[in-house]
Amino acid sequence: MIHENLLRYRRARYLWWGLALIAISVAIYAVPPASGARNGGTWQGYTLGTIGALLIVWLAWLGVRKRRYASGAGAVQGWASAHVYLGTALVVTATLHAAFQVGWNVHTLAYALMCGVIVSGFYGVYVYLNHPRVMSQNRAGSSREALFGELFDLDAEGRKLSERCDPEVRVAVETSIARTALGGGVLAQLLGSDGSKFVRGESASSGAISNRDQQPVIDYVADRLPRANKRGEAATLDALLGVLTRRQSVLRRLRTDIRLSAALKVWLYVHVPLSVALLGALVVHVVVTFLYW
Amino acid sequence: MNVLLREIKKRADGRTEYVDTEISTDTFDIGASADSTVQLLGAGVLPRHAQLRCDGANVVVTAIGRARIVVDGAPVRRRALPVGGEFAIGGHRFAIREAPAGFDALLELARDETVDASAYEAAFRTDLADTWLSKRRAAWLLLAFVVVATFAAPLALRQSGAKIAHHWYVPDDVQWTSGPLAPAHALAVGDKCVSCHTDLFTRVPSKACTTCHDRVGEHVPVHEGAAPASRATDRCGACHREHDEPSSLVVRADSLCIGCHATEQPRGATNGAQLAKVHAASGFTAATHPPFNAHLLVALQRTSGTGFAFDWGFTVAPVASAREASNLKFPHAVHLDPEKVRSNATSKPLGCADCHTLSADQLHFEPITMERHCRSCHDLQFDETDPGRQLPHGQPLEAVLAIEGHYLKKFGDPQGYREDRERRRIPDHEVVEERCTASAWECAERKTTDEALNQFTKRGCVTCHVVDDNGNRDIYSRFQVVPIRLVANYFPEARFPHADHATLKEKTGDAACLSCHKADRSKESADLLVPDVDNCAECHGDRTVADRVAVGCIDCHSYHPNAELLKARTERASL
Repeated sequence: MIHENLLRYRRARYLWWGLALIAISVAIYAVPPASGARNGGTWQGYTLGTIGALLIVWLAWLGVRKRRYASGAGAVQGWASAHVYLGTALVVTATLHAAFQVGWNVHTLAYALMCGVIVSGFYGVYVYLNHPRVMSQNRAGSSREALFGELFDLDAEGRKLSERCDPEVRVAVETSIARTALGGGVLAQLLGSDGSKFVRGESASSGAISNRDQQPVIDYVADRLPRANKRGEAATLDALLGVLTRRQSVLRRLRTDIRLSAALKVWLYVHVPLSVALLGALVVHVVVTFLYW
Repeated sequence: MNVLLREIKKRADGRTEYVDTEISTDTFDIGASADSTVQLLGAGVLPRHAQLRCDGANVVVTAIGRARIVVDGAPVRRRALPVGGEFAIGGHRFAIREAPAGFDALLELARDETVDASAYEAAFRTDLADTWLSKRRAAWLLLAFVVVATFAAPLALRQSGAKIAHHWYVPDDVQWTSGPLAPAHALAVGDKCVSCHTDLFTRVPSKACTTCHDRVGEHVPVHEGAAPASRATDRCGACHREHDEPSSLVVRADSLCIGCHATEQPRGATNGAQLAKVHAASGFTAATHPPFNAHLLVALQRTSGTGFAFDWGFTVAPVASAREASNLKFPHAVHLDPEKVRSNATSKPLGCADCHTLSADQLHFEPITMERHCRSCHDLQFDETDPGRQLPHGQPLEAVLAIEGHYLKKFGDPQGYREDRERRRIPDHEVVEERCTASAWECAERKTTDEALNQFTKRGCVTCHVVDDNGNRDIYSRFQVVPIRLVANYFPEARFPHADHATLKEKTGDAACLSCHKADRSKESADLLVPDVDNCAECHGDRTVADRVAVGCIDCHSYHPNAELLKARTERASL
């Protein structure tokens, strides 16, 4: 089966659903209100509001649906496609429900939360369409597990090689492996920042220094190469350099993979909590409307 | 603290190797991350797994977060271990040994040799799920904040009745508003929602309105009989809507009126069948709106007393057939004909505005009076030879006495009369002066009688007034003038802004007036020059269409009775 993306699912069937919802919303809004003022309190407003509220509940249901693998109610991809198109159309329905009026109140709070959910969703659609391809290019057909396996082997190999070198090089290589930073906190993952450190063997007392992108330790070892005087030391250092540069390459791929993966997921940390808050605000919005009828 | 870490390694040749590392650190932590004091790998090891500290001879090991530490086969969160004690993290085993001199503790570590590359990822935090970020926690926090700040707190504040001044940071019920209040209400009520929203889940009761608005007239007066209690408009809020943008306060929907008035409604009047009903109306077209009924005056002669006194009553009659009974003789057509009437002052033809001046309310017209509107042409002179001499207006007996006085003076002073006569002879104007040879008294009385007859029956008073001639020989009591009263407002139950209609389509000035009021064809004052609904419907309709200007019920009618209507009701009640 040719891969269909979220937006082109079944020839963008749900695009037409979304457009139909927009057309219906505009048509309802266009009916002149009896009282002259357009707002959520007219029959047009109540109708648009009911459509919008039901739609929000249905859109939020995707979070439940995607966990029910046994459900027979259509493919998850179809749901997601409908989720995107109908969620986008919701902006029109809700804006017309509010008749373009905003204020410092719970009603606009619900509207603002909804906009936040939808905007974060737009970002989500972008990364879902774009990032998987970029990530797979970055891994060059490999997997993250395989890359970590390779890193592990390189670490072991590097350690073993360093044991045959003089203590200064050994300290530098050992610490560069031990203090290799990958991923980390939220910002470190999102920005792909590299806090790796290593200790220069001859100046161990001055502590660890930056080993960004592993280049400093490679330079340190490479610098030793012309000064190698023991038999076989040059060959060992050469082999060590080979390991360190391969390590650098693997770490680059891993770092990019972690960064893209974080970008692919981070929007959900906004989208999901805002959606839940929106459901709460929506209930408050409806209850309060009738509380102060 | 100073710790000696002794790693036990199995070498390839089967021998055991001890690798000692001196560790001097403030915080001794164990975990998968590369910057841990002791880095362990494996599926069961978190990036930051446990912390170690020395407590005298004991070593205290504490799990971080959801990390798992096993002591004697059971998981522990925190344990103080004496020398000889053991614990395990993942598959890695630690043992506490007697510390050598200079060290606080000796830690023996046997790593799990089965850990392979596949577990290496756990050494790093490579997923956002490994960080402090949590969808679930954020969702619950946000949800709790929204529900507490926007619902629970405002509701609690409201129910407690606490008087806390409103600020943007106070979570009160002001945030429940669906739009701004009308400025006057914002000034009076402001942030106190409870002033109007007295009960939860209940629409604003009228009582909340009438607390301040205590002088608003009832649509149906209570004394005229109770209206059906179930009417939708009984609640002020049915027509008056707050929090709308733009603020209007009055819902102008015709449906609010038509809800009841699509069918004939009882007026509740106690007298006069023609007044007892409010005709059905369902729109503003000739077909959906009833024909206009004019509110007319009727002069009712009192039967008792002197026999010549009038009470003014009112009657309601369809515009199409109604006749006015003002007792004024006034042909509009003659006055508008330039061939017959021109202004005394300017010699220009008369126009509508020469007599009809819009009153300050822009709806009605200033009253027509003899002094202001008629007298410049219709003066009250009675003796041609003495044009300065004018009769008093509005007092028939005084007029007769004025005539008598004039002629007594004239005939009683022949010298003066002759001189006056010579001096005032008008050239080419032959005045046939009847010579009177009798006594001055007799001459004056005869002349008085002649002139009074002339005024009351031929020309003078009788030109404009209805004169009652009882045939009495006594000239003082023979003639009575029936009083005139003009209707000031034909439709007290409606309003028509004349000022807005001074220009009609391409017509302005008199042409605009005449397009509705056919005054140029009216030969007598009994003609009611008021147009009917079909005339209005030529330009107006009840909805917006290309060739009509839309008007709603309340553009002409008011729900709350205004002063005009209250006056009309009083007058009607006195019939």
